[in-house]
Amino acid sequence: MTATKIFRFSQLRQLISEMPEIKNGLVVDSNIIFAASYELDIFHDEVAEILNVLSEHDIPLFTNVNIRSEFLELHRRVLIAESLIDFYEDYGSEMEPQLQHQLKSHRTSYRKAIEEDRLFKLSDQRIKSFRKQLMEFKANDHDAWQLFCQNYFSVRMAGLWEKAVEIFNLHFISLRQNDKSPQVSGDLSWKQMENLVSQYGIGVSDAMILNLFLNSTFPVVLTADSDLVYVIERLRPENKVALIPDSL
Amino acid sequence: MNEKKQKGPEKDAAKTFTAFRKSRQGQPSGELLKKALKNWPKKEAPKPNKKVALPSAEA
Repeated sequence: MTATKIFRFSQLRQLISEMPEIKNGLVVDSNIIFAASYELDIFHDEVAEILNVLSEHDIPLFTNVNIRSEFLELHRRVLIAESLIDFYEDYGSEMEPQLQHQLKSHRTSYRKAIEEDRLFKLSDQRIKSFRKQLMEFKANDHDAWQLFCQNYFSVRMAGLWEKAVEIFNLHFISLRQNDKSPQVSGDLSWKQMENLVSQYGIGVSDAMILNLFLNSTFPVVLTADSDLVYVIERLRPENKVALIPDSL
Repeated sequence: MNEKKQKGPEKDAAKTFTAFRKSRQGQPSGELLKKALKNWPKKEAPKPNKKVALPSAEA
């Protein structure tokens, strides 16, 4: 059994020979599925390549409800940003000057990020600010935010997870009492999760994913999250490792 | 419980997914949105700050 807790993508073949049980599957974190699904993510190319190696070896990927919600949240922040630009380009000339200025400035920031090969995500605070402004415009019991969502955002967002499940062949880890996945080996508790948060200062969602990984039979978590790497390096859980991009 | 071995990702899954994502664009929504945008909210003129008398030290 390996003493190393962190493996780089370039070491996957070595990892497969050291831990053949990886062939039964690994936990894939939301940032990896997101990186695979969004070409401007800094890890996109590395993740695309590692998924092809996993495909060659037919190694299945497992997720849970937290991974799903994080994946969707990342897409929400990126896709609202993109949708607002289309909206501005179609209707900018119809808008009142203040809104026009805000959206133009948003488009400039977005374009700058693209030129610099950076991912552009809106903060939740900024999304709320755009919503507040658009809600002030009304027609026939609808406000402009609702209409924007219906016509620009929802077409991009709807069904994204289902498509990811289909293309990445994602398998779901269930924690429901009468439908618990066989890979869940321990009893997951809120207390354990809170301990991870309080001892290492990581986010609650990351702690939930980590807690699941620690209480499962999966030997590997595929992640690009430095919080998970930080805790795994310190906890050094038996028979478990993280597989991370070489550039992380 | 799934008895059979579960499958790994498709080959070129990232490429397939990004192509799918990029193919989905919004459409201009026509008259209703145009109407909403023309319906500018009336902005109230900013109210002058009221001067509040501070309690004196003796009070």
